[in-house]
Amino acid sequence: MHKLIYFLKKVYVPLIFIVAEIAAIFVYAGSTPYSQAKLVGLSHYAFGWVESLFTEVNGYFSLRKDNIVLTERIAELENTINAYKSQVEDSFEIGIDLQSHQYIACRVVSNSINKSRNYIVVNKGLSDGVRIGMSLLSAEGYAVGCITNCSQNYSIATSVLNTALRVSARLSSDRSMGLVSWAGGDSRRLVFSDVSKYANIKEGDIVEAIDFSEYFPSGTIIGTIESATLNEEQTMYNCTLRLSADMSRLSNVILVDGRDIDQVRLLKSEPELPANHLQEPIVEQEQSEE
Amino acid sequence: MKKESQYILFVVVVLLSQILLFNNLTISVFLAPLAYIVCIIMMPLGTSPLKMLIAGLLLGIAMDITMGIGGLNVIATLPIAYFRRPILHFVASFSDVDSDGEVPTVRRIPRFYYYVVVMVVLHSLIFFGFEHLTTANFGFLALRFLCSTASTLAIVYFFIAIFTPKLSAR
Repeated sequence: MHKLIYFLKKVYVPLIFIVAEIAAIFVYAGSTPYSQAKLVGLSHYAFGWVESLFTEVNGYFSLRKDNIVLTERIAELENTINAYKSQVEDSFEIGIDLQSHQYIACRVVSNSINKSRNYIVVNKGLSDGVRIGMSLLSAEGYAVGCITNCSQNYSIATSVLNTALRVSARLSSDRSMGLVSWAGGDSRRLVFSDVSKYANIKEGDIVEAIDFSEYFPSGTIIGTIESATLNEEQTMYNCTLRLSADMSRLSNVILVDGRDIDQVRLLKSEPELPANHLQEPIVEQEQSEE
Repeated sequence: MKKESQYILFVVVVLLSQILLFNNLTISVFLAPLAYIVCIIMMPLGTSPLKMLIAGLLLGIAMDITMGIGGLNVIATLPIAYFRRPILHFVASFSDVDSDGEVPTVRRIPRFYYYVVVMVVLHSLIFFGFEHLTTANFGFLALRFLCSTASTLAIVYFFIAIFTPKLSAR
């Protein structure tokens, strides 16, 4: 109590000043409608400022909570993206890394299926970013062809129904490799040859492009096994493959740029090393002994 | 006692001049001299803060009543009365504020005119700031403030020049 009295004794003059000043402001505020409106507006502004200051300070202290909420939200969005990714992969049925490929949607301008060497013309060309070697997939993501020539606005793809095309492929079930080609004739069937006789082939097995296929992204579905027979030497299977893409109804197709294809092609085009490149230089050794 | 009565006479003369003359000046809207502040400026140096505050309050109320403005003069005069000591100390470099009951003069206060100018300018600033309460039409406000402050300063100097020799005579 004494301390309070002592404190009041020390501060009574400033206290009286503040009280008298506030009282005078109140009297002035009530004296005219103009001063009332202005002072009320100013007081609202001042209170708003103080309130926003407190809100900002409170916001700073609640940053931790906000961070947790944001992290949870990020995780949720990541899951959503992954779900969409898997949906896209399922629809394409290609187990490939989407980020390593570029996709260009285009339309088929012309498509032949009744010749031994069939081609597909699409309405996208060099100006659209198309380049030779890009894979051509059906809208469902099945293998259709491979771009072999490009003009400014159009591109030509070698169809899988081309007897000159040989595609390295494998069984998705036991990963036995073989070679897919078209023998001509039936536009719905291909040949899956040179498959090991130890492969566990069943009807309906999916045949897909291998990891380092020159023509299609890894995992691109080509067709399903219809029948399998051993060759005359009983060493390899020759299978009849039912083409997954409906080549007679191609309309919307997708161009896929496999960014590693160029490297694969480069490696394949390098001249083979001589057969004896691992042998020791015997002649030179003998000469040195002499 | 004689000095006190002289100071009271000084205050009466100033207030009468303010009420009868300066409040009724219709020369221009830009001229609104608030010469009554000289009463606070010239209050004896030894006056206690509470007395200063009461004097400021009474002066403000008196001016509000005569001018017909509710509270505006009190709002402007109270801070001047309350902050006179720090102004004397920091602006006029006068540290011996509790010395005696003498009025502030050029001879007693090292920077007396700085002190007068700061007191008048602060008072006018608060008065016209609260009178307008907005920065809209700032040119008008600034001109009114400048002209009124200048006229107030001139009148304050006039009163000081007339009464200081008598008030400070020993």
